[in-house]
Amino acid sequence: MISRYILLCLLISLALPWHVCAEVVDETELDIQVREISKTLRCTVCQTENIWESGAPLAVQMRGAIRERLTLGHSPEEIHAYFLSRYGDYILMQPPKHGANWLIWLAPFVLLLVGGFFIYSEVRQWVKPTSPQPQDQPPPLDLEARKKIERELQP
Amino acid sequence: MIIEIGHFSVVVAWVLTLLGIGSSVLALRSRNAEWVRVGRIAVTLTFALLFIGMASLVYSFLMRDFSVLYVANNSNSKLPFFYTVAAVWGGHEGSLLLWAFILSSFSTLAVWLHWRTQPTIMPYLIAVESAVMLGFLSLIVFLSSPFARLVPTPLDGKDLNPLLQDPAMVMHPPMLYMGYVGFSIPFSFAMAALFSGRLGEEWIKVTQRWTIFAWLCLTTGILLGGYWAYYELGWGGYWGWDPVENASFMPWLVGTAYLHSVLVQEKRKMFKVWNLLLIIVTFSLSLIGTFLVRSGVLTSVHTFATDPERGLYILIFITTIIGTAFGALIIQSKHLKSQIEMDSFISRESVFLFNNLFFLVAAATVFLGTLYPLMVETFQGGKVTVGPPYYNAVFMPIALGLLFLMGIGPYIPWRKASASNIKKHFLIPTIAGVVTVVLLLISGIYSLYALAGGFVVGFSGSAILVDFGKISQLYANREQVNLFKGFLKAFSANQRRYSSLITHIGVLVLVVGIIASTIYQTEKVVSMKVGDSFSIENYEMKLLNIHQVEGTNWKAQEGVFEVTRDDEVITKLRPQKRVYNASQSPTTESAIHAINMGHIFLTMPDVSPEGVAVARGVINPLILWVWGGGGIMGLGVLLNIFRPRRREE
Repeated sequence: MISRYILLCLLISLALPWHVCAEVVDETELDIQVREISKTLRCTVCQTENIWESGAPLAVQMRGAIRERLTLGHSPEEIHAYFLSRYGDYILMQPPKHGANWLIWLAPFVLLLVGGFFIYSEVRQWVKPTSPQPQDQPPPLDLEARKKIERELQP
Repeated sequence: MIIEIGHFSVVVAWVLTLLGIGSSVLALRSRNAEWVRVGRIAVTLTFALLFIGMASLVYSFLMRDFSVLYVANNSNSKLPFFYTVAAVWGGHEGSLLLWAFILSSFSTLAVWLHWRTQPTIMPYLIAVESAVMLGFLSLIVFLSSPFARLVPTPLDGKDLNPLLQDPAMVMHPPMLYMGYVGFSIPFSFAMAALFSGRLGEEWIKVTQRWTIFAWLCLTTGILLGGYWAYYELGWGGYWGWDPVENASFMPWLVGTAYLHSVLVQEKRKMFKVWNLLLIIVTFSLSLIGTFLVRSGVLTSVHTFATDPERGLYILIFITTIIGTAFGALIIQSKHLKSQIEMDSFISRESVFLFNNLFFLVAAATVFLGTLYPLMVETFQGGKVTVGPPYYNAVFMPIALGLLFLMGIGPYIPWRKASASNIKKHFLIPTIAGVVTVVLLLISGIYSLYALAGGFVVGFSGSAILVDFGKISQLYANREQVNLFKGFLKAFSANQRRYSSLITHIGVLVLVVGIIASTIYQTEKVVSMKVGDSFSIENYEMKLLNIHQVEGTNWKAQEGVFEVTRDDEVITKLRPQKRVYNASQSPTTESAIHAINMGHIFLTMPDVSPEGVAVARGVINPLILWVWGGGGIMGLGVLLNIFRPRRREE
């Protein structure tokens, strides 16, 4: 890990003009993993903020815990399971898809389908009784009207 | 002394609201117009008295009179002038007073504006507006007074929450409230229509400008809030699906449905019950939104329980308003049969119905998501979080559906669409949608949401642009002028329609901004010392130094970052880590540089005593489209409101 970091720094510093003698820092693989996991976990003392966005001390601690576990070789799933066992479903940024939570996951789409079907059947009823089937051809003109039109079309 | 004058004025205003209701009832009983005049005086005087109430509170803030409890809790002797004024609505009590003040100014305006043209509606209007006002003033007078004294007087105030010490605080809450309260005017006219039995299209035509004005304020308020959260909270996003944001979004969604659906009643005399229902729901959600934000009920049921009196009162107040409104609607609904005549399912009427369906499902989703944690806590005892990942997943399909309808609606005829009509209007947009997708694929964008969004934006956008092109051509030929002048002629010939389409273009621009800045945001967090640099995309950020800076009521560590691309210095960014003196609470002040319609966004959340800074860099592509789109939407609405009046209106 560290050698990769140094290599990256070297590569980037090669691209730099020589008069800029600054050290270049970059996110490591570990940092990115910490970020991805942090974004799925909730800061329990904030209003709907994940522990990545939050600056609360608890969030900082939790990020530390994630980093520690990742360096110990735990997988992201194991880390999730760890936090779930300590805080329950509350710790996840979205309701887990099981049990009663399906209600909230499916409700919008069920509502759209039911509403769409309702509109369809309702509008169909409006169309039928009040007007005849739409006609493709205009109604035939009576003779008098035809003559009138022809007369007016004459220059 | 001054604050007591304010207090007294508000108490008198409370009595006058009772008079407003009483005189209207008497006017209807006795059929004597003099009583309506009394009602008008009551409404007008209420406005004057609430103005005094507001002024006394502002005065106490400016004089830094910490013997007033509300002033002591929400300001401090070192608080800058601007924020001291904004602090008036920084807490629960003051924002209620602001609400009541805006309500009274709108009521007074409506009564004087429509006095001549709507004499029969007037007593009902005054009664309904006064009833809503009574609810708010009772809360202020009996339960949440901003005028209470504090004994003994503290030496200094507790200070305004540092997050609220921002220029946006001056405009954001009043805008939002003007939106909420603005909907009270169409609501009152709707109630007046229900109570008086004058159930035609009159109330909708009269309130048409009020409705779009309210919508404009609410939209501006929401966008302003988003922008504020963006630069102040410093995580690089502008919308967090926070309960407070959701509370303002719900009335917006239903209000937008209402805004569209009234068009059908105006043109086709359909959806009468439906429109009444929509405005009742919109205003109810405005009320719920106001209280949800401040009552704390959403954080947990327990906070609600700590102040049961206030909570119970609010619950009863809202239930009464909603109950009365729905009761009147149900009683009158048998008189509200619409004359429905349609020739085909595929027609503009259907598109409007689907527009309404999508908006309502969106509102129901936000409502359910916001209250679901509360439901789980109450019924199961557990706790659950409904956060942005949920909303993003569920909302995308709904939003895309709405955008698609936006391309169809204005171009499909009423009653029935023929195959040739569909081909004429939608062939080019469909091709444009497909071309957009292909172009996105070529430029290496594979995200499903971005592609779907690209298709819909291409489709709806080109539908509008083709329309603009055709109509400009037509008028240019007819009047023998150039294309641009032709467009202006066409525009002023049908300003209402074309200003709405400009608003639609604004929506599309906004959506492109949202999609790009959400899906293609890149961020990086690094720890660095002075002299170090980090790169994000093509940009190189070098920390030149960290120094102390001081404001009137805060101290900060400021990092100076040099931003370069290809060795070319673009700008210097100065994010701060601030600590406010009075409350000792920290904030991170972001530094932003606009480039290529996007933002380079930099914060410095932490600096250790050893001088190691944590820096967070975010590149938000096309984020300026979000605010620009909002601006175009606003322009469209303004052109709509200030269109010349026509004879038939």
